[in-house]
Amino acid sequence: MTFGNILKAYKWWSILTILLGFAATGLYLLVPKLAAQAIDSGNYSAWSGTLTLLFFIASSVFLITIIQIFVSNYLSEKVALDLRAKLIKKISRQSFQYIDESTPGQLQTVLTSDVEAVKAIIVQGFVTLVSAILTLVGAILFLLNTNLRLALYTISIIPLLIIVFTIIFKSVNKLFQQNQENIQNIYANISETVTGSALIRILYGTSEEIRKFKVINEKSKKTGYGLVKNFSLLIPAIILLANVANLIIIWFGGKQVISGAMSLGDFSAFLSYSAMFIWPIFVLGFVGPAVSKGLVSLKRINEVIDADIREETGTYDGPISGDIEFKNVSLTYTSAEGSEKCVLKNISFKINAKTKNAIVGPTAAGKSQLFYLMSGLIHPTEGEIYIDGKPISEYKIQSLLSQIGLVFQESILFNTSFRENVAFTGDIENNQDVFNKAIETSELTQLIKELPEGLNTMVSERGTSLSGGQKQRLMLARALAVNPQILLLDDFTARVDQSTEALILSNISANFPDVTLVSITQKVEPIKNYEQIIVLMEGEIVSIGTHDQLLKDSFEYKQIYESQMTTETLKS
Amino acid sequence: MSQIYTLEKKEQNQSIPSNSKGSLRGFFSYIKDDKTKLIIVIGFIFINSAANTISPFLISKAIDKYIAVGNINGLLNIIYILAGVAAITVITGYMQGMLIGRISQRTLYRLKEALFAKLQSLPIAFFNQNKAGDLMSRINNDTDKINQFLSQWIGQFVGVMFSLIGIIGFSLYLNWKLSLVMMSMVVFIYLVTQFFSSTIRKKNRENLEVNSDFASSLQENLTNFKVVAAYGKREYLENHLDKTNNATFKSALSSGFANRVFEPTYEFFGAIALILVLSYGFHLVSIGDATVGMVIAFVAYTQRFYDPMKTLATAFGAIQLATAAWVRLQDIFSLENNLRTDSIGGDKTGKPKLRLELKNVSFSYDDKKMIIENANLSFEPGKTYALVGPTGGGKSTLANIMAHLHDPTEGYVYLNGKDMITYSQEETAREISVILQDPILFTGTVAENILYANTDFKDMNIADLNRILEHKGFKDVIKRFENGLETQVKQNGAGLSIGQKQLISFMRAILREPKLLILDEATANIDTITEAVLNKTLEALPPETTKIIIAHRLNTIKEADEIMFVNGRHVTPAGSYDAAIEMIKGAKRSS
Repeated sequence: MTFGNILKAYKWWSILTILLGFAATGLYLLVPKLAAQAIDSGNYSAWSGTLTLLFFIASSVFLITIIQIFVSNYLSEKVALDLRAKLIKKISRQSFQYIDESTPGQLQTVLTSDVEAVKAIIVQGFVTLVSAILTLVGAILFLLNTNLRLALYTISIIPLLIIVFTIIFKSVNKLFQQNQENIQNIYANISETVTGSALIRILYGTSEEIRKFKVINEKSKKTGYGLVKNFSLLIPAIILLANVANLIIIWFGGKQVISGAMSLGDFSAFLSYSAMFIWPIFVLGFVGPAVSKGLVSLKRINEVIDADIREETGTYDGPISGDIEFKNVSLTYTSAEGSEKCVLKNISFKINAKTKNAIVGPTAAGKSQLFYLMSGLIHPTEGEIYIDGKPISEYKIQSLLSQIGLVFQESILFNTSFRENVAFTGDIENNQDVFNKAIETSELTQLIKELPEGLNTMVSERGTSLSGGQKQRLMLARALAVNPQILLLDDFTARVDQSTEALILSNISANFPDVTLVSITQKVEPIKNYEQIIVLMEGEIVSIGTHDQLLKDSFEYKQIYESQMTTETLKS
Repeated sequence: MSQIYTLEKKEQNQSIPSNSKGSLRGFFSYIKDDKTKLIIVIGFIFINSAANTISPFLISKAIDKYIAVGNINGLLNIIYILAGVAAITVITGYMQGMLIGRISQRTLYRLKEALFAKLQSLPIAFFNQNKAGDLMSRINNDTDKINQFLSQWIGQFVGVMFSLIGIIGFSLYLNWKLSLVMMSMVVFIYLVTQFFSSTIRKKNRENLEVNSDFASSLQENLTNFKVVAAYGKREYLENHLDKTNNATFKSALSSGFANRVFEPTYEFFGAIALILVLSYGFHLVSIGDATVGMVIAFVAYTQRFYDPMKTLATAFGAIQLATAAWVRLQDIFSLENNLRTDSIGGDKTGKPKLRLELKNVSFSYDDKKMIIENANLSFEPGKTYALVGPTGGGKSTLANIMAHLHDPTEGYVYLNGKDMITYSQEETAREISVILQDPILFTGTVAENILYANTDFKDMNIADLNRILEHKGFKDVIKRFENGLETQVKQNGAGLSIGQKQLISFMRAILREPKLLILDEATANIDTITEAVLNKTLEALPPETTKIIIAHRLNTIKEADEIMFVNGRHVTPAGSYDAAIEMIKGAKRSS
């Protein structure tokens, strides 16, 4: 999408902006002319008519300018609005992987600072630019018409100007790119100091954080210096060339006048036209920076808008019963340096609908990745995943996800009401029963009762107002509120005490009896009676079976179990 | 004593101080260091404007005196002079731009640094009450608005002032009556500016706030994108962001318009001034008090007087925006850390032989709901304690009080017998380490994360660190990371599981060898076999280390010397392990 394309969408607004701009400038130029006329008339007692006319013109200029500002302001904001809307639309359809890899800081910069920069082209430069170019062409024609040879001498500075502009804008392009990256880094840095604030205070990392910020800040300053260096060269370079043009005219023109080849009148006319020729060049120098910055930003915006998106091919959107099957699934990550890391190797298993299943294994075995695969957040490098015997790719992902409840390991909460955190859209009227059941099952009833505004209480950003266990229960309620056929629990009871955990698990059995449950867990006790337990180690399945079978057959499982023997004293 | 650190939005009707000088005053302290350079810049601007005025004069002289009479040598001389003047214009123009640009970059640098340092000086309560996106917006966008004003307008401002002073002086000298008529409109310009600036500043403030909201909303939704994607709530995300996008649009429309209406207004007054000058001038001519030439000269002066005013008008828009931004930065600068520190004061009745002591400690976040009530706890050197109890019972809050992240609302906390408030933040960090429930990692390598803020092992190389960690029993743990200690950690530790993050946090804390180690669910997401390995490393800590373990998993606390039960405000010693288990089984969750 080029800048031209953007304006094309607002053809009439753009034309109106330009026309109003010209009208105001043209009328404004009438003022001194009329004043001169009034003076020239020599009739100083009958000037009131001219003055009334002047007043009328001044008022019209005022009104037209106000309208012009309104129109151009509307145009620039509308462009910004639409750019943001386009970006939002694209981003909200992007894959999780894309968002994860492009980092929130980058997208944030594109949506705010880069859009601002594109907007600035319109606010600061657009009308001026158009009128400057028109004036330039007009002035050149006048010059050529007045005295061809002198005009050619004068115009000879244009190639020099183009060279200056090219050199400077080439080097600022890189700097502007760098500038936006600096903003991104500052965003990322602040984000980390906010999320890490507790740790920074515990370890007294204050000076370390200030040092880190200093590095980024220092770099921003350096980029700023680079921009300053280039732009403070630009205007003087233009002044220099303008002066060269002037000297050419005075010297060669003067000589021509002296030799009689040109009349003095033509010479002074030429001089004043040359001012008309130089002025637009200055204007280009002044608006140039905003324009070049805006174009760099537009490129960054385009990168996001034009980024590839994984097109959804599936069409099936019927209900599922909850059979899950992995067939030879492998997952390999390629790092930025190109090295490959195999996270899951040749995974095959089957989970029957309405059964209870657990996945156990050490830290970093790849357990969570299994869930990401099942919910389509990531895609397998090899192999296929089937739900109800149909490959996941055949499903309409929206429909499939509306039947899966996934509780992440980490608490991910939104700064909205309690209600909206549970039922995302806040639209629970159709599903009041399920919503209530979700709250009840997650043992949140008591907590909500104690909240000052009940379900309408706001959850603070990052959930800082809640305890670890409360956050996890809230996340569970969110998963249950979709009335899932498949419930995926990623280590969700890690922060919930054992009695509450037992209570929640029995609530799930009672309130959601038909759900297919897959639970990643560190605790063996609650899964003893599950239909199937999968032991995963270093990305591979080492054994599958029931608790009793595994105790007999799986050394690894037995080891895990024995490390937890003491918990046996607490049977629920 | 509740601690309010919210950067609240200004109420709709609340007026913002209308005196722009007053509210911007604090800002000038950030340019102070460049005062000499500023004066030099003003010198350059002066020379530059002088050189600019002199060229047209020289050109007209060239025409009248040399070209018209055919004096080539004279013409050549004036060409040399013109070239010299042009050189001065170019050089001073360059120096002026360069110096102003650098001054504003440095000011921006100092401002950002001061803001960031301020953030670092504020307690955890501040971060719990504010949004990351809002802070980002303030540190980046608001400072940028100030920089824009500085870099684009300071030079213009001074230049304009010079030419205004020149014109005023010259016109007063020519005809003071006409001159006063010419300037009369300035009064109206001033009044109109005064009248509207507070409204315009308010519009700007609103716009900056809406931008902040948009930034916060983006920050949150992008960080939480995983949930959005996994729940298929992309439409919700789009609608939600569209809503803030529209709000941004609306407020930008009115503030953008407001900032630019000064210009036509000033222009209009300039035209009125011209009419007044003409009518009064004609009157003077008709009564024989002025010549036509004088009136013609004044027509030109009026234009040359009001054209720079138009530049000022644009600058005023920028000032309004910069002031609004500055007010938002002031919101941060005016906050003070309420966490008590008093190196010589404090309560002197702590028991010196205890590692940590809580005496009559109560705590509430909001002065309404008590989280901890009258807790009296003693922790001896070298012993291991466990805090157990249901979720939401106040265990983490208790840990935060112990680590002096919060002051108790009532009562005292003593570290090594001395009141906690007598320790500086740095000293506290040396004595106490907490492994937080939500592990926190920074962008960098695993090694950098382990060595974070560790002054003893600063800049240690990977091989040495590896050796030390292996010696402490972490050999198997390090293997859990793809490239060992050199594994890269992404922003906020994205890509690592919580278990892995907990492993890093664990190593980080152990390496510091604190006198008091608090483990808040430190191993909750780690498998029990690895946990056993970690527990061994705890035993390798110096014998005088006091350990306080918060855990739900009972085998985690099996080895504790003493178990305390925390539930719904009250902390009670549980005695033996079996007794504790009985209490847990019988406990009713408070929330």
